[in-house]
Amino acid sequence: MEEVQLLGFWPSPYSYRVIWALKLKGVKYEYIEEDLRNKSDRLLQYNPVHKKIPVLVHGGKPIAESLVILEYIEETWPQNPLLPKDSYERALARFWIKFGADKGPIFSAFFRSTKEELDQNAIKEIAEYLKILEEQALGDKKFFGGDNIGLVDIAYGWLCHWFIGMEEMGGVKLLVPSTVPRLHAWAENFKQLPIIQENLPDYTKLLAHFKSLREKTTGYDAR
Amino acid sequence: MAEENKVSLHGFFASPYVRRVDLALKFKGIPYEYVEEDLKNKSSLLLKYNPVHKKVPVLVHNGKPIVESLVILEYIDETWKNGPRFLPEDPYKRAQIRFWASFVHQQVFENMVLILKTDGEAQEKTVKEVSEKLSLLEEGIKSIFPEGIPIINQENVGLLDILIVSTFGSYKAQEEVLGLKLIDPEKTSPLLFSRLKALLELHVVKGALPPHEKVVGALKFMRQNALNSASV
Repeated sequence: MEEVQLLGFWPSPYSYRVIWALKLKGVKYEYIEEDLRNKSDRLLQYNPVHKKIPVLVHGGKPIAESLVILEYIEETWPQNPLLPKDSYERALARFWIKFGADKGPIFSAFFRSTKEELDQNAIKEIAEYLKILEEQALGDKKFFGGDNIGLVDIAYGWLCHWFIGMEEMGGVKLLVPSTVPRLHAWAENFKQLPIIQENLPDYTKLLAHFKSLREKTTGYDAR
Repeated sequence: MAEENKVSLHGFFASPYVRRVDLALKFKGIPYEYVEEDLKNKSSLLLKYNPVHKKVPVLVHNGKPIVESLVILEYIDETWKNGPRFLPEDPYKRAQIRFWASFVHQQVFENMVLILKTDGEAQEKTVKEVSEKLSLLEEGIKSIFPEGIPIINQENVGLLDILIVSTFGSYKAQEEVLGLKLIDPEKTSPLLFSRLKALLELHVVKGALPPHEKVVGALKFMRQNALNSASV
């Protein structure tokens, strides 16, 4: 059997995207925890360009960048497809995945926003962003992928756990039924799927990690 | 009965993102209608086709819009299997190409845009960053082609080639407007530069790139706008 390893970091949502995809496909893998404050030679060798996790190593060959890894997993293990067959539908899925990837800065700003000093601009932008996701990406579907989850759900999965933690820290709730009822329902449904539920970092530990990150005003090295 | 394959591209002549799609269509020999958009007065069609970003390029295939240049390139490659395949068959090689495509798109190109839009210390800092990224890219190109890069022709252009032409193809105009060299063909980027030169010789590329003076004009305009609004 081909050897698959995943270099990850326990609080990283990017790590979890890869974990979810591997589990959904039933791919056996070895998980290796990396200490990002003290990067291993292995990580530096496997991802010399960015020196970040996640890195998937398959048969000794490394792949970096979570979204690139997701496409690789989809192509290498075609069982339980996570992208539509139709190329137009696939282009739409990729568009929405990219839409999520581009919004890093506003979430970083929200992360640094505190009860004492709310970043109103970040809050406004995120509220708009969530509305677009609900109205144009999700619509009336249960999941972004339709009746079953796909790569788009995996890409946005961080909203149902990590973003909730950010909301709690900032004292501002944005993913709420009063403004985005369908997206809120999506987050609940996504989180309740056994594969997701069984593969999430401990919430309390995550909040503690967020608090210490904010104090250092440095982010962690993942993409 | 054969279904009509109607393709149109909404673009702006100076946009490198549009250039990517334009090149892809030309390399595949796909007939299409080009619609030049006035970005200060966007057409209602554009707003209808790209309500989220309201930007070009937009590819419309049989009435259905696709946006985001890299997404469009993969769509074209999957839909028209004739002509050069932009992505290889092997999933690992595909991953390598996608990794470097994303690198050129985000790490290199977006910083080059910053260089155009800034001056002084901010610009200097970004120029250094781009130089570092180009060194990494040079290593990346070596790693993708461990046995040396094959000779380029119109049958074997790939996704990275399209990005290289759209990002660096107007390098002379960029140098003229900025008064500095971005690609160093000797020290930092010999492979990249030789690949670029080979690509610029291709018939399709010669026909696709806008004239030097037009690009200089567009770049100067963008730079002025950015520097003016920065000082407000």
